[in-house]
Amino acid sequence: MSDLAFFIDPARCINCRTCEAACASCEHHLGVSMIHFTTSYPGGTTRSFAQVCMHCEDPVCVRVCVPEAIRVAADGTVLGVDRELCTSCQLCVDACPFGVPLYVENLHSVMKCDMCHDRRLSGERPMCATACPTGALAFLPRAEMEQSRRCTIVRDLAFGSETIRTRAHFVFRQGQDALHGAFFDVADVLQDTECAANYGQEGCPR
Amino acid sequence: MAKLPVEVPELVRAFGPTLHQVPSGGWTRTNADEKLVKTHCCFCGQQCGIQLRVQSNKIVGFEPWEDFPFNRGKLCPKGVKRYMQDEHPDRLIHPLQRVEGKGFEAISWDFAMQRVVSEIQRIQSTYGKDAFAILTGASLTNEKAYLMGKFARVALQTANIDYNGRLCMVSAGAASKKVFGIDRSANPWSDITKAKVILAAGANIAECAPITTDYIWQAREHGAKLIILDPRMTPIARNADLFIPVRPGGDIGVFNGMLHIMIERGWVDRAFIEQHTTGFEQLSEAVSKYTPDYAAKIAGVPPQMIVKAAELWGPAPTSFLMHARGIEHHTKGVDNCIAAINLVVATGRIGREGCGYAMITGQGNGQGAREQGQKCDQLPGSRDISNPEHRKYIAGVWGVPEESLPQKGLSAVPLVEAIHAGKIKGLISICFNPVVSLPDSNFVREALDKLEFYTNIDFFLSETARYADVVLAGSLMEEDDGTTTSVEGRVIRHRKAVTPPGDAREDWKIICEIAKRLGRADKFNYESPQDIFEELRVASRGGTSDYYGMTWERIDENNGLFWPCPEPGHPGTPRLYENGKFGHPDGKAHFIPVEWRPSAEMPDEEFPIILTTGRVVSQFLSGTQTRRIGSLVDQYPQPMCEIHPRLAEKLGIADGDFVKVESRRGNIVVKATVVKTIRPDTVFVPYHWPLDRSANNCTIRAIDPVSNIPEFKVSAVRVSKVDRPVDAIAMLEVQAGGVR
Repeated sequence: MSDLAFFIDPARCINCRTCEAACASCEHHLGVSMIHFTTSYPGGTTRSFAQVCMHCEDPVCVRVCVPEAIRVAADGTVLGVDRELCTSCQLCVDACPFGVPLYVENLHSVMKCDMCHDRRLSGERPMCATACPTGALAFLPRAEMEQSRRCTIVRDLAFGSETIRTRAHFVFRQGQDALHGAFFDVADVLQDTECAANYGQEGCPR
Repeated sequence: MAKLPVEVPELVRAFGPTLHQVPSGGWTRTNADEKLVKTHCCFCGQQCGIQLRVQSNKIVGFEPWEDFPFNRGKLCPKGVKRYMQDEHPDRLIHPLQRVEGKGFEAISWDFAMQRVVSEIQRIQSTYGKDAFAILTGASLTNEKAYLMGKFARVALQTANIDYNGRLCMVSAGAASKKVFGIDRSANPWSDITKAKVILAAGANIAECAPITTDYIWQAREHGAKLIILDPRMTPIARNADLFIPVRPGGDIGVFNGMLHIMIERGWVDRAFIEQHTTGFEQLSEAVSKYTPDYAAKIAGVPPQMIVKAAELWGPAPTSFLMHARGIEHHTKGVDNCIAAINLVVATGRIGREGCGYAMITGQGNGQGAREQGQKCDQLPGSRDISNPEHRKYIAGVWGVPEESLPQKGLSAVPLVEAIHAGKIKGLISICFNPVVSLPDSNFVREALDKLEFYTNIDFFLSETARYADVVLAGSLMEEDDGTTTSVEGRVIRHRKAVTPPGDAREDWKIICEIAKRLGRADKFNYESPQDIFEELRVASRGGTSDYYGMTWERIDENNGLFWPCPEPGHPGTPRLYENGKFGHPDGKAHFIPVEWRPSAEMPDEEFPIILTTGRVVSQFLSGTQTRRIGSLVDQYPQPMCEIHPRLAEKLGIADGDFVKVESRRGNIVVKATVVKTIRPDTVFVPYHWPLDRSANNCTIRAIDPVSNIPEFKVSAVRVSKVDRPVDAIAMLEVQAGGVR
């Protein structure tokens, strides 16, 4: 298996949704994006990140899929949903801890990210990570990631008592690189509120 | 002519904007005759490399182009979805003429040309040559921009040609020329990653120049500090070491305040200043009063922020300054840029690796389109139309007498004012949608009503084209060959992927045909865009933006060439000002002291809030293209008025309410989005939409005295809660000006 892997680096994400647009442009996806976009605290922040399939080592979506519509490839990729076999029971939708499988009503099927299995077979990288303008979604050798970014890479994710090991990675940052702005309020940093609120009034030049 | 031929909803039914959701041929792919065409995005000044997937003369998708060095496959949603503008139901496929009470009907090219030419002749012989004007655009290739300038001066002999770069790069260009002597970003983008401190002023980089974000993030991985000046916390600001939520129009407070502290603490490069600059004493004197307290009152931020900015910027070993429309769209736009550039020159951190300066070009060919002579005051090679030597050279290239070349004409806003005043009677426009993009839209609409004849070259019927008497079906970027000059000053090749559909024609062929019918066949006898480039090279020779050493072949081989490239074999010039050698005749940089002054319209009791306008990531400029692409509209369907909770509470406005934003000139009714990421004294509305959703209904028609850029960033407004609008315009689809 190649050492290339997915990295989700929220500190670099700018909420532009290029990944979604690129994903939805794949002819196999019929205009539907397999990527879910999250903007935390809308209105209070510009923070965001893109959720791709984490490709768990022991994928719960596969475990719960009775008709075996979701299979794991030899390289560990958790493949997309076989629409011929999918019964739309949506057990995988409920089971996935990352909220990845998506029920698409007009196709009567669940769909999910397969890390562009077809592209990788022909030597290309997944479309979302290739098109992402900021490196917030990256598809790189882990060593290159560690060398080029000041970050902590995580692939063991605890959910209550259960820890899930994934093939895709989350990237966390500290200190200067940590994201601020979770509950940012411009008014708070404008301590000189007199000027901020009373623009043009006495004491504030016009 | 008079108002619109029929009501807006009827025009929308016939010509859109309609959302295109599925590409040509649907979502199935046959690899049968598929080819990949390496070209560039048609939208912003980053000009990302992209490959278009073409089957049977149809563009069916895209593929990243990872070998192109600037963006290495990276794109933004506009670039990704650009292929959806092809095979579009709204595409104009034959010439049209206006029919009163009916709309527009298809006509033959021959008839269209006859009408256009006879109207040009009638108007020019009745009212004089200058009574026929041309408005062009900065999304045109270098070849087309060059052709438009020559068409104005040689075929129409009108002084009145200007372009929509007037709304974009002119403040930055003028400032750069005044201080450095050359109007171009000084460095290749690779220098950004090597800077230890980056100052980005008035630049919503993440949304308007997404690829540049990656360069900044790379610099941060190497420990760079990031300073952001913006009244709004845009996505790039959330990782900044210092985010300065400056009051719109208060930037000089920050820049002069920083320089004041830097001089005080010895963070200026005295040796560099001594050797390579002029005017530092006057500058020092001018900033002496900009103490942190004084500067902070102008900037509308706490003084310690300005001190912190100086502490980050002043002593850094390397640095990069970049700015965009946020500081440029002001009646003091040029002065704002000069104040920023002074910070670069005072530290001597320019002209070497990791040390630089850039203006972030907005439009696709924002750089090149202002060099090739379609500005009212310019001739090719960035030459000055008032300079006798320059005139002589270009007259020689064109084979016309120097005295036949018109003098300087009107820039875009005064040009529209002259139409309104009845001095200009005829207009040809291409690549410009002034009804949406110029300030004070109501005035622009009134002006268009007064034209005796208006012809518009476009691929979709834009909101402005609706006013035309004759519409000439032109070409999309992917339907023709040519070059553009990117944000870095890199000249790159756009390749023809498909031919124009139906009877639509390549723009350059339309222009040449009009010129021929006006009796100038000998001057417009080109075989191809490459033919035009060969003449452009020569015309630019010896000018500031010298392309003489470039050929299309060399551009292809090198993934683009940076100007100046004065001789064949010259490697091009990625980085300007190396070894402290600047563009002025004395070889020095010229410091210019600037003073803060108020904006044209300051908030008052009647209109107490500042309106500032800008863009969102999924839309481009006036939206002629991007408001026709389904997913781009879905991503940000309609303009939202960003308002701080403190102001919203005072006005009784809740998130999602409809609000009326009203100025002395007009109003819009849009949805409010209550966000903590904007100053409480300011509201923001993006400007990509038309009619009652056009932010430019409210903006002020005031321009910078030097650059003539409009003051889009400061208009005084009041905001109030209103009911959801239910009139005929509101009932349209969002992309046409309705509400969702």
